[in-house]
Amino acid sequence: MLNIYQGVTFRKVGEDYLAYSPLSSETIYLTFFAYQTLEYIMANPISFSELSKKHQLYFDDFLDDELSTMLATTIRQLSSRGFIYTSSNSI
Amino acid sequence: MKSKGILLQIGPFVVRLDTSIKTVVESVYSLYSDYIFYEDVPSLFIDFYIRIDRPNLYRGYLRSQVQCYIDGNTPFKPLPYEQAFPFFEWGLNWVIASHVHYYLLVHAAVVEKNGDVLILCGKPGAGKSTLCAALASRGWRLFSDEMAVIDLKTNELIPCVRPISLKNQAIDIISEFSPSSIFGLSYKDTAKGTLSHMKPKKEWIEKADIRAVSKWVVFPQYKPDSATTLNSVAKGETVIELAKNSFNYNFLGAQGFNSLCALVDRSDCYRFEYSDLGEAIDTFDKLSS
Repeated sequence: MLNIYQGVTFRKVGEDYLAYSPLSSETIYLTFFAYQTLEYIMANPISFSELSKKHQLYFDDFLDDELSTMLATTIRQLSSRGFIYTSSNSI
Repeated sequence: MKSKGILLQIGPFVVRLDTSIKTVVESVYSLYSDYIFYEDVPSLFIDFYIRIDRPNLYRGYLRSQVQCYIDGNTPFKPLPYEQAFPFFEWGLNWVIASHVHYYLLVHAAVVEKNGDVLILCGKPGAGKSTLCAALASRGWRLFSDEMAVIDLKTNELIPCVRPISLKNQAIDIISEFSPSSIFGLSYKDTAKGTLSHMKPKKEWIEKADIRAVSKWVVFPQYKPDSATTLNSVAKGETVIELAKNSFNYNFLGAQGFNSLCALVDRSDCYRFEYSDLGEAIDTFDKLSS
């Protein structure tokens, strides 16, 4: 399951999406895709497949493979920068 | 000279300065003459204790040095005796930046007009103090030339008016641009070159409890012979750059992030390049009209 670290905050500022992690003390730019990913994980810990399904509803012009690759990359980046973590090997 | 305790209100802080150095006492009474000075009463809460004095016999007299004691500690190496007053100013900057975590602090100059705040944030040498002094001498109210003090709950800017620290050519530029401005002594060969302090106007100090909200965040850059240009900058980029220039953003964590985002969200954000101070003032006067 994908979880968000305690204290992680993200918001829209002007036309941009930003996030802050107290773990890494990093403030980063987010794509809208990454922003939505954080929103879904923030709402509830979620599995990769559930997350992928949620994204498919919004990003319906992407192929399943493309979406999966994009999601995997986003999750890897958010994990390595101290925003989210996985509580099992479900990615 | 016997050590003298001076208690004064500087912005939201009460500062106690102890010194036996005559030039420091004279500079404080000259540059801070319009501030509120307190009697030493036990009920008064003092935010910072700063002492400027000779360190010991060898360093103090034989090498003619001066030390800055903050709450009895010595966080800095001694400086030449002639730099005793700038040492007080630097010590005060340091103690605010490293101890005040109930406000968000950003390294920036801040001025206000018609209730709208202009935040000038830039690297040392970008010309923000020069621009700040010029704007302040043309009808803008000075909040600070050193740091933006931001209320974490309301995101209002809090005035922390102090003498404007001008360096090198900026001293002559502002003396010429604003001949009525009053300057303190000139200090040569400091770590920042030649330094002089411009005395704050009485009206700025009298309005020190009037806060205001941010309308513009500007990253100025003085470039010799350049045209005056003002270009929009993305708000996300502005937040990240202000965060890099904050003294306590990481200490405050999510609170600092949210405060900075809220401040930037309500501000127009620009990069500003200039070489002519008159044109620079016109640009900001037009923005505020």
